[in-house]
Amino acid sequence: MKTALILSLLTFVSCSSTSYGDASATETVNADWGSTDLQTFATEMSASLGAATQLAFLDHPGKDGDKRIIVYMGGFDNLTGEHIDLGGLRDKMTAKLVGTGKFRIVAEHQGQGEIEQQVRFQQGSGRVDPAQAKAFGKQLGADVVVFGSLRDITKTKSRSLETAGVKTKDVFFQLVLQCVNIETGEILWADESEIRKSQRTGIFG
Amino acid sequence: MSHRAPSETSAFLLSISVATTMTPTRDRLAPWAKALLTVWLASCATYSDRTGGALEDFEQASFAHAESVFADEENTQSAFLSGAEAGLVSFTDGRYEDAIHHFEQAFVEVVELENAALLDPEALGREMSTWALSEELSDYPGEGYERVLLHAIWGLAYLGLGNVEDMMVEVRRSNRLLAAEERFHQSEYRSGGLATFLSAIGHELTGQLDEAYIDYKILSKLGVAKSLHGPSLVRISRSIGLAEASDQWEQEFGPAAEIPVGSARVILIAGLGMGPTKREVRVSVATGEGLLTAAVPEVVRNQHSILPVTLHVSQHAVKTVMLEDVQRLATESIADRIAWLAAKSILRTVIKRELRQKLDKEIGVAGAIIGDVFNMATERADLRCWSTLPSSWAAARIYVPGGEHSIAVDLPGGPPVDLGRVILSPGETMFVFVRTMNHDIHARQVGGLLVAPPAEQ
Repeated sequence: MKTALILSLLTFVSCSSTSYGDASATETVNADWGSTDLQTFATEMSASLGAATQLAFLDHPGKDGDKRIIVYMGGFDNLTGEHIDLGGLRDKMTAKLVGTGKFRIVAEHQGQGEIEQQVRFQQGSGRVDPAQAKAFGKQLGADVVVFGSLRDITKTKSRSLETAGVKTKDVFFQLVLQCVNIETGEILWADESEIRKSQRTGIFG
Repeated sequence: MSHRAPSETSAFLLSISVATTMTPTRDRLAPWAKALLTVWLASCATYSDRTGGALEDFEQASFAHAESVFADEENTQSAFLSGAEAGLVSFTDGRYEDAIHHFEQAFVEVVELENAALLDPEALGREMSTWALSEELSDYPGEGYERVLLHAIWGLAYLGLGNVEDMMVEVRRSNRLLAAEERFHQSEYRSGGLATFLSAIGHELTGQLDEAYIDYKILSKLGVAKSLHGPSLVRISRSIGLAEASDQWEQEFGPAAEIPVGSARVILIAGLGMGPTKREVRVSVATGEGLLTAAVPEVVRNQHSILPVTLHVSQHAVKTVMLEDVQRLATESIADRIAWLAAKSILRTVIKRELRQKLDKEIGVAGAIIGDVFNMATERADLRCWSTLPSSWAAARIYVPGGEHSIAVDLPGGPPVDLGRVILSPGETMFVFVRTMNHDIHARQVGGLLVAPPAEQ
């Protein structure tokens, strides 16, 4: 009986497995930039931008009946000590802003490349019905540009007798975004979001 | 992680003590065999013995072979050194993506060692081995200055790919690590010149002149590269509206020459010569109870040429100035730890003397001789170091009119190394990465439109 119990325990602990998890569950593997930080910042910032009353109305004669704000998602600068692809944050915010129905987002650099390639194909390949072939010169002109930067303050306390062999790493992320009127240069909206994470590594790892 | 099995070695040593105490007469051959085997296990080749060939390959520009030998952890027995050495070889060869991959391996090792459990059996065994047998049985996370430089050179590799944002990440890591090292050792290393210069360049390239101004002020405080930071402080303070500061800088450095509209600039960053190595300082004292041997490392300055490089852009020329003295950093780093290393060595010697006395008592003269041989063979200083580092890092900067230019570099008294003809756009920054070894120059250009390849050398 005892042997069987030990064997089954050994079998259990030596098994490796793969499973699906909840993509929105809080990730706490370590204090480095993670999926929860990306989701938190994208959700908070797009909600704040969506609720900004000063962005409710930006009209000009070329807009016709659709008065939604036309947004260009600009650069998000990584000013941290980690290699973070902030394109992921910008893409997630773009998806959320489009989802609110309040904004129209114009294609950025990568999208413009795709558009250029497609228009040239439609215009020059001879394979597309000329009546349906799209031309350059009809893109939306953005009203505002959204840009900003992510900073961090990281502090580490090494293992020592004073800390009873525990190593502590404290990371503070701050994301600051601005939405600027392209025509006037006026900052129409700005907000910041902060996340603080702490990682303790004990003597058992 | 290291493939060495130090915990097994130390367990072996302990087993000798136990065996000779508990069964003194039953099996006399076993301790002999065990002792000899232990000597053999512990007296394996030093780091320079294992990687000296690869270092020679590197110095003779046989980069691919040097990289593959260094990258193999069986040869370096240190993941940090494998990554750092192979990375610097790839970087010198202009293969920046490979360099980044290797540097990341080295960094991951450092993080793993820092986060490893103190009470992990393997780590404990390894630590015990350093107290009982030899310092070289520990994992090697790099000396403080080596870890700081790892990030700065990693940043250079990103710059080689034109990736300024990731270069700046590495520069920040380098600066933070340096600050942590200085806090830990309560020292001021007058270091960080390379990373700070890269930071200034990065801030200038991204239009953050106020930040670049701070970087140049730090270089000024470090007292390095006056011909680089002096004119920059004058120009930038003026352009960001710090009139009073601009006057002060001008008094200190003189007026900065105007940069004509439409100028481009060429920045040369050079690793000069070969960095320091370590040698063992060994003290053996014959006592009535056997030989007492203590061993600690000492930094040996490399005798390679560390002459400045001259950058020629058409008819313009400028010499490099020093940013970072690697030899000095290595010396100061060892000096900060020498008392601790000596204390550990003496303690190990005392432990080994106990073993020698046991062998003497149990086996007789032969046992005593084995004890002395064991002590002599295993008591070694840790001579591991990042051997491919240069003696110093230096830089030069020159502003030239936009357009077509010939680019070349040379060492005093040596023939110029032609880098071909390039077209520089107004406002463009082109980089030249150089490494000198003996009287050889290895140079790579980053940026500029190459219109004529280098002439055959």
